[in-house]
Amino acid sequence: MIIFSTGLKLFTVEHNSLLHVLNNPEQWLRDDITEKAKLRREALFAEWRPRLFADASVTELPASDDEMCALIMARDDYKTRLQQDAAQDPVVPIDKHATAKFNGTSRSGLDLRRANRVPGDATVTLFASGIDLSDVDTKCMLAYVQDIEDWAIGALMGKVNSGKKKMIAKYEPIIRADPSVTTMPATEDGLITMILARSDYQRLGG
Amino acid sequence: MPWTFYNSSGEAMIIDGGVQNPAGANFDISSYKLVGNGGSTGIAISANGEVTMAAQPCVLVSNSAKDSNVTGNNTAATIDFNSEHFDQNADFASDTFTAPVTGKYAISVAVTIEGLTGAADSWNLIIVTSNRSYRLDAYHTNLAYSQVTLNRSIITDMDASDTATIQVKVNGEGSDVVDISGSGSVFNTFFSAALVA
Repeated sequence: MIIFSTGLKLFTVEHNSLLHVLNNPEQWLRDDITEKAKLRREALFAEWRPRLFADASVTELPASDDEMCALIMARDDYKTRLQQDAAQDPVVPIDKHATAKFNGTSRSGLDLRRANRVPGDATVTLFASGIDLSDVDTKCMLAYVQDIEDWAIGALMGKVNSGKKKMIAKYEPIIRADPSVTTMPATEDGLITMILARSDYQRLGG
Repeated sequence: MPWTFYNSSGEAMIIDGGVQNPAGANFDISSYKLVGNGGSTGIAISANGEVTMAAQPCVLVSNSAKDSNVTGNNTAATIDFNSEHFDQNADFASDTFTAPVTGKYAISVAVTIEGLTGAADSWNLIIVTSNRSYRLDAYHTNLAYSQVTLNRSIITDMDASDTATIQVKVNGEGSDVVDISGSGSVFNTFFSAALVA
């Protein structure tokens, strides 16, 4: 399965915020997705092992991870997260909050206190060829996650915001103590641009 | 004078007022801090023995002003937490908590809804995490009050980069006339999360 087949577009400030805390944002997200799939596979096994032990019709279990996944997912009583949510009463709707925020369509008309993101203005492309996930990783994630792209966008933007906050937390006191600075930008993005332009700016870890 | 400790494999840990040991940890006696993996913030022990962890994920946010007409006709409204009181490890932004590491997180939430009428017949408070949702369901007939506070706590498993958001859904009003309350002084809509294990 290929996700983000046309890439993900970030603003320069967002990309620089990632680079404040990561050496290689693309590699980090790939690794994060791989780790997430591994953890979900382990969770799936932990959840299903007692059920399989208790099922008299199961006489042996495969020793390989992939075959164990296949065995679990072929059962009549196995459901993906989406299937489980659809079976709830009331039905749990698909939540794509991270995607909506990324696309600038969240809270439209409800909250004017925070401006929506305008994705059309973003210029930095990550994953121009998309991210290729193995079949078993995809299935293990979908056992728990409603939508893999939404999860990945949430992960990416969480790291962007963490980078922004950590950068500002470090440099705002430095700027305030700098007698050569008389005013500061009133926006988060403006402040980050000012920080990045300083000669004493260093990414976390140097 | 430095102190040298050896583990069962013969590896040495040297403590000399902040000397780094071969594994990368640093027990700085002068500042009473245990720091790992080249970081600068770790576990601090005060002279009185109080233990603090300044970079441990721990967040408190609230909603400072009312969000009007966001639910009532079965609309799931993601709660706006626009006021941050502390966010020790920079893990909260845009109404979303993002787990920085895989672990067990304590989440506590309260949401006050107002503008209810007698037509409202059900409401849900939902903690939406990447792996699963936790839902408080309530059903009523002939509701006699216009405001109610919904609250929930959970210790949940979150993988690194998993997210948590809060939703409220009210049904029965016929249109979205129900508000999410907010206050700047006495918090009635708030969210907190902390890494506990």
